[in-house]
Amino acid sequence: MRDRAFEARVRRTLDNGRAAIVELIGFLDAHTVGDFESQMKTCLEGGASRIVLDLEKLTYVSSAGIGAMMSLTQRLRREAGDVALLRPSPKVFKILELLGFTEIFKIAAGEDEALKSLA
Amino acid sequence: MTQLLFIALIGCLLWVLWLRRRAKALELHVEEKDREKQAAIQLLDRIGESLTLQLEIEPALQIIVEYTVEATGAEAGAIFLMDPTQSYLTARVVQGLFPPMHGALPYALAKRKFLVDKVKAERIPLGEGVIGGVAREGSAALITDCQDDPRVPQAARDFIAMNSMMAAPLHTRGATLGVIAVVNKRQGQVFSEQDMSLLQALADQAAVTVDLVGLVDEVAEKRRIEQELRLAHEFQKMLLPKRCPDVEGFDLAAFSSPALEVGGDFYDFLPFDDGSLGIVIADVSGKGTPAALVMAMARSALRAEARGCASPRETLRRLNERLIEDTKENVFITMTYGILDPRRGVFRFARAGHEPVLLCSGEGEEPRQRAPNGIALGMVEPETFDLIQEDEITLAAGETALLYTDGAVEARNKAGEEFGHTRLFDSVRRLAHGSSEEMVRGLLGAVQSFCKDAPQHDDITLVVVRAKRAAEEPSVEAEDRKRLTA
Repeated sequence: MRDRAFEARVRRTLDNGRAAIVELIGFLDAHTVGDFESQMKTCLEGGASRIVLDLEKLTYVSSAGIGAMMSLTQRLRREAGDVALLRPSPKVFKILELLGFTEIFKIAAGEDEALKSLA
Repeated sequence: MTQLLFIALIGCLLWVLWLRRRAKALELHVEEKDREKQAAIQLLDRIGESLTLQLEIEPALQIIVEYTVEATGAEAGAIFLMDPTQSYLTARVVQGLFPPMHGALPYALAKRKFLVDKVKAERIPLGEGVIGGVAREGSAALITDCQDDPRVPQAARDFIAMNSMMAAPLHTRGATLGVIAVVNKRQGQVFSEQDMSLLQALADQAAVTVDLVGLVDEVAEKRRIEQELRLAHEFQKMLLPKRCPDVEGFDLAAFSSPALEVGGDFYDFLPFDDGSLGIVIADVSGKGTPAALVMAMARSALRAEARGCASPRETLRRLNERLIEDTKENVFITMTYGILDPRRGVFRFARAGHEPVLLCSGEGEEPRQRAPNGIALGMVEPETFDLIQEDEITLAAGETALLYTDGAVEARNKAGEEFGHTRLFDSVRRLAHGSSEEMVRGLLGAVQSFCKDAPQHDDITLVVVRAKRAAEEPSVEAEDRKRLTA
């Protein structure tokens, strides 16, 4: 189904690939979470330890999608890296808030702020 | 005249000679075709024997390769099958000294066992070299001079003195399933067009077999999965309460409907000795059997932790510590757990990242959400989890508390619209004057009529706790409660 499509796209890498800004677009659920995980795997293999996930165009995220984001965050934090979430839509923010995950994720309104929070 | 007769005679003679030659060639051709037919029939016989014993792909492929090597007089052979994504081929059975067809050749290949492992480990991209080429083009290839043909990888040429090889596609029902290849004809001979024609005939039989065994495998696998799902579904049903407990002064109803055969939602009632009742609703992230297993684990862990603990917050704190050890890092559980004290009409609860508790008066007012702080279980260390708070609701006569999972809110219709909180609130308000059972049925009905025939995307679970009105139960406790809540 087209309206359930998802794409994860690396928009920019900085600091010799150690930081990456990845745009998540569309519908992240149990069906599309594999695409997200494989894109993240590529980023980690490329040496990224600080990742900004731009959620502005993410229309929906299910528990499976949030689980994958949490898993990525925990993995990076163990290795002194981290994840920041950029511009989540009110709907996605509400889901994160309900789960209590706004306490865990770094959430930023701008790219610079997001990168700074990871430094 | 004599001259003319002579020429005619010579002509006749030549014609007879040509006819005899043609007849001989035809005979040879028929023999050749006969040989192919015989070979194909014999291969089928052997495969048939194997398949009546066991319907498995590996032994069938073994027979196909062995027989093909024998029938074509080759020194070695291998069968390559296409991966499910149709992007590369791997050797499934290798017979004799078959050279690697992809990548460089390590020195450790002196031993035959290592060689077979190496050949089997290779992934040959569709279109690459002779094997990948035959798979992509769908037509057989005959290479009579391997040393001079770029389709044969250098590593293979270096490895054994290859002179000729041939490969044919396993083609059936419009799809290429793989490639069968043989190398080096015995006694220094070179494979001929006839040999290739024979190989193609054998490949056609092999293709039918591979296709058939694959179909049988698929059906068996499907049946196995269905069986497993049915068992898991039964198991999960056993874990849900068969009926709601009777609690004086209260009217309880609950329902859970998994999106798939098995789901990650659950609810439970835990009657305590002091007459209070533990009530839980939870949603495990993900779906299907893995979620159902985590659900079973969370359910028993909660039962263990809740016993003897009067504080829902403390129970969830302990549960989190347990689950953080036992669950994978991408799995979490949202849960609301509370204790209903029927004497005081109080429901004290804590919320671990779960949907809010909805409180409704039964007088047509807008439902109120109660969402104390709390983080989903199984994700964060105790220090972070500690921010979880406890909340208390007093249920006056006729008031209802609704606990639900997000499947109820996120249910979608064919146009992709969500049922959403607004529709949920409207339905709750409309149904609040009736019994708990009526509310559960009414809510499910509202979700179903909204979604119509769109598939159920997520599990839906509902638990309704309603304080009966005095008229429904004119007991002393009810009178007490009325006084207390007044």
